[in-house]
Amino acid sequence: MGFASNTYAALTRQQWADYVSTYVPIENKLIGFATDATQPAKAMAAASQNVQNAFAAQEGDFQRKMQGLGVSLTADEQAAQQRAAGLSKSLADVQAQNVAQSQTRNLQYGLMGSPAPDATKQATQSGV
Amino acid sequence: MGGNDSVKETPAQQALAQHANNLMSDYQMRWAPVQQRMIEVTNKMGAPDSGVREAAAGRAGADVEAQFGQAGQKLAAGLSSTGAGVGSSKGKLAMGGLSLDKAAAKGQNIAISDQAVTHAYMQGLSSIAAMGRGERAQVDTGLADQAGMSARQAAVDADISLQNRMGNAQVAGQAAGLGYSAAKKPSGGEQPPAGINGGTYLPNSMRGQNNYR
Repeated sequence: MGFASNTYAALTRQQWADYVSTYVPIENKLIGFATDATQPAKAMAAASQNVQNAFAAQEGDFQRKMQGLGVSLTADEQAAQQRAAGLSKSLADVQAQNVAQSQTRNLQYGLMGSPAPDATKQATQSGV
Repeated sequence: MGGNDSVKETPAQQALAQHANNLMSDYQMRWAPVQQRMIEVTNKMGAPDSGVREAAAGRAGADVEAQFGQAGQKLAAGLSSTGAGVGSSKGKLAMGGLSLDKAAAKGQNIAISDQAVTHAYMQGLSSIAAMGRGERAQVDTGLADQAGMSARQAAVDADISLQNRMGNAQVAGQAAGLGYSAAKKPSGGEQPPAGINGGTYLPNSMRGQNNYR
């Protein structure tokens, strides 16, 4: 083996070692995400939690706003507001979960070779 | 060859190997740390409750607050113009409805912003993996290079031999041609040697340093 052969052999070994130590863990992360069947459910749960948090904050926010204006809800108005809140929260929750599921699946398919999903388009289509 | 079947490397091959070695050293010194930094930043971004996720959620929430703040003012103005103040039942339920819409928008906006960060995280990982695939491809090429080196060397040797053999036959004709052109050329005005592409040759790894003008 001459100088050139030895040099190329050493470079090849070094490149392979770099690839295994640096890039294989990254590839494994991508493969893990793309093939994890629980990812859509995890994204749905996270989206649902975001909606629940927003509505929990809204309740106090609305109460403070009413107090700031010096008005209060009657019993009938409170009941109407609670019914509307329940309906609105359920709709928002379902919609957020649907979008999260769809986007996560599209991302998984994209990583596996399909075209990458357009998050903005998804959001627009979902009416957000 | 007397039974010695090893192929002697040409100076050009040795120079190319040295050049490849230099490129690798340059890459290890300058670009490998950059790539490591990119990997760290990307991994940090994708972590649950990362700073990027929190910032994205904050922005998403602030955007909704700003939009609905304006909508609230318009609603109050609209209620006043119709004679129904915010203290009326109609006004209170309208404000309540607006508040619910804001909560729905905020929840969904924050959820989408979080998914957008996950998307960017995966894109970052994909970009890094693509760099790795390039390196792996170079490894494959390197292995093929080594496997093919002897065969190519044999072909080069054969070609050189052929040129030498043919060259002997052409020398006489070339000498005659050179003599003719020298006789036709005006005296003086020596021509500069032609460089590669008429300019200074730089290896690819060095082009980026001053090529951003």
